[in-house]
Amino acid sequence: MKNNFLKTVGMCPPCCGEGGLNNLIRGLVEFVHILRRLGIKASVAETKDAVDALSWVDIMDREEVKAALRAVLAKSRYDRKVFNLAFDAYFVPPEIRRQRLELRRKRLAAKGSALQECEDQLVRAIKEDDRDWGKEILNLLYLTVEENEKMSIRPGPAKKQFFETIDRMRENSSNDPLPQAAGNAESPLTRWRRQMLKQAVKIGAVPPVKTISTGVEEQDEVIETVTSSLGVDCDSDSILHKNMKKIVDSDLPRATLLIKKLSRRLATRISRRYSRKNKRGRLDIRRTIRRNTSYGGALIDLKFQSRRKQKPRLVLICDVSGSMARYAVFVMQFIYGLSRVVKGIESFVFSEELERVTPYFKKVESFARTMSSLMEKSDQWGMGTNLHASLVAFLEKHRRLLSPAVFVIIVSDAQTIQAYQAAGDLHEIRSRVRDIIWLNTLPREAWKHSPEIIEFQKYCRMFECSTLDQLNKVLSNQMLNV
Amino acid sequence: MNLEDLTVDGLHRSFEEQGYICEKELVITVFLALKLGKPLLVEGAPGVGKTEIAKVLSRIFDAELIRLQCYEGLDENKALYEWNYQKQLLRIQLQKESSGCEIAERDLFSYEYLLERPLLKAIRSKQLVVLLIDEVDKVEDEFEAFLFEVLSDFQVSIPELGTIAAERIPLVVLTSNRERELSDGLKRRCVYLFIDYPTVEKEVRIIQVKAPEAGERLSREVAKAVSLIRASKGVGKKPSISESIDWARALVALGAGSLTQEAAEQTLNIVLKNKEDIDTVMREVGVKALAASAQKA
Repeated sequence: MKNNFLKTVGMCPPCCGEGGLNNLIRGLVEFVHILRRLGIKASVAETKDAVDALSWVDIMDREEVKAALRAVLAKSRYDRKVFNLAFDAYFVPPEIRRQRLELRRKRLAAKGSALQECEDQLVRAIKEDDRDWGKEILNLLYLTVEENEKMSIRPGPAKKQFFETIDRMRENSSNDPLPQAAGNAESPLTRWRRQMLKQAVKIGAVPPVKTISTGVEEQDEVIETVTSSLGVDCDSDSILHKNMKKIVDSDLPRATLLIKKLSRRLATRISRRYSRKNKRGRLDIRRTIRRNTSYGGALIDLKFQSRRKQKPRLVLICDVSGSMARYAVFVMQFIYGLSRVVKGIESFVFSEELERVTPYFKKVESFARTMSSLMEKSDQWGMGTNLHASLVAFLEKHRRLLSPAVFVIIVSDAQTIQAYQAAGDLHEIRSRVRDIIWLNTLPREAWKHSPEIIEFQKYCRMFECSTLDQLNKVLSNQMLNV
Repeated sequence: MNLEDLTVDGLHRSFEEQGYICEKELVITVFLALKLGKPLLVEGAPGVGKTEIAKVLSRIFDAELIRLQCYEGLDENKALYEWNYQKQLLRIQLQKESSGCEIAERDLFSYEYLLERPLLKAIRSKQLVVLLIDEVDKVEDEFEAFLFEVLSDFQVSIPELGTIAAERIPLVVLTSNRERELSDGLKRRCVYLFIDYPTVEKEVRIIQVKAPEAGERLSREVAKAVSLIRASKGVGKKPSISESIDWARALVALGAGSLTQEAAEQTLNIVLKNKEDIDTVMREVGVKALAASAQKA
């Protein structure tokens, strides 16, 4: 019956040829493996549930099988969307799968030669005019830039700007060590890359898909199909999981609404939890009774439940340098959504210097207008990054803001010059506040390659935060667990 | 209906007989939860019929519905059991006055002094019950972790009495408005169902079942207008199904046979509950366009 199901309904997983129930289970396990690669946390127990579920539905009916597997494997709205795409991509007749694999091979071959050509070109260009440090900076860029996209760059005005930036940095000795130069080169390189990607997409040479290789061609093909379909969606769930940097202007109203909703939810939770109390807390009747049984029931020794906690205070320090400006707007919007329950938020932006921006938010204006006037008047947006100088200025001018009730939230990708000195400043701040929460927009896997980040982590709790979902989770967990 | 003889089609028919209009996918998910003996976790926007599933199940299986309404600060005492402290105090006093000797602790912490709360009541029930844990996203992480034991093993531990296992495993339905994401541990133990806003066709059927006085034409116009409002990007609180039904009823009460511009202007506040959203719809869609589009065949 299981094999009939595979043949008749057209559900032909690549590894399931002839062979009955075991093949079906193997196919199902492979499908679960793909789901995990796509971010769905399907456990072994849930995989077993999936097998059990199939025994209760008509496995000749594709939609019943899909509904049954979805019910036990996809446990959120976003997971369901990923599941639907993965199911439709994975359970296809063998001939369609063969055609798709063939197309993919051709595409990869074309992309491979294009990338090689670009890499050669980039290395040549960097090494021109005695740029002997070129190869090294190229290697460093590998850490901070998505490799595939970086390599698809072509000559153009943005390329010129990129090399001008690098030349300027070479002339300035303060830009050593090279990691900082690589960090600062991100912004012009991003513009260059975007321009070239647009061209590449237009001619169909390079798909705008981030590939996650499993080492199995069939699985990679399904994963790429799903991720490319997810990338073009723009509903609330997609925005929630999208890198904030990549939220396009047309999606901003939806993103704003989503941030409002998320921050309001969190504010409600905090306000319920953090009511001020001057007394010792509620009487713990259970412990009191047990304690006083030996006194004949007379309530002599009272036991209390622990005291409720107070509202947190926040100092927000946002990196608004070239690579971070987009993130900062979203984070600030979120934090200000909490102003109903978070006492006296103090905000600062920095790139090369520190600037206090709290007064902008005290005006009664819409957030969009506040941000646009802030960006217009501030000198910091889109510059290089010097966290040390900014923290020194903070400690000199705003030390009074630091107290044991304060949470300092730093939003930065930690790509700064004078990082070790900045770590020292961070140490000093840490000794004066409740906690430092660092929201890092770089992927967690990249942290271990960055000595600066390893140094900063000694004095703060660092969280990956490049999507609104991550931002919401970090703030929810940290602010409710103080 | 008997759990052992349950089929997907049979369950679907029963849902429709109870006035719960739904697709087969929803029925399959509920069916699997029942057959696998796992709790059903239902997520979705407010007012799409999450809680109703538990009520319908209790009617279908002729089982008592035990409801645990969740809120921030809910603890074991209110969800599981509590000792009857007043009765215990009285007993201590009486014992002291009548015999003068102290009462043994084991006598004081026995079933006689136990106040059953919804979870314990569901577990100790000898009959099949439907346990509705409503708005589980409102509880704190600690309580959610405590629910693990109940939902995976259907047993609870009371320090003074030991472990109490379920006499008959209840049908458990958890609902969540997604105010926060639930833990992986809880989700792993459940079969998951997400209920989205209905299609126009489905909503027409729902309105006709719940407000038959509205008739086919008005039901369709209301469903189309509501669908348009929900699609409006700037609307913060999208209208629920119950609000669509209320809108249809309101229009009938005003004697409006059709969703004209005038009728829509008079009743828009039934379906949109804050000024910001009303302004957004006025700006983005406009009442005239809303009525025209709803009336379009």
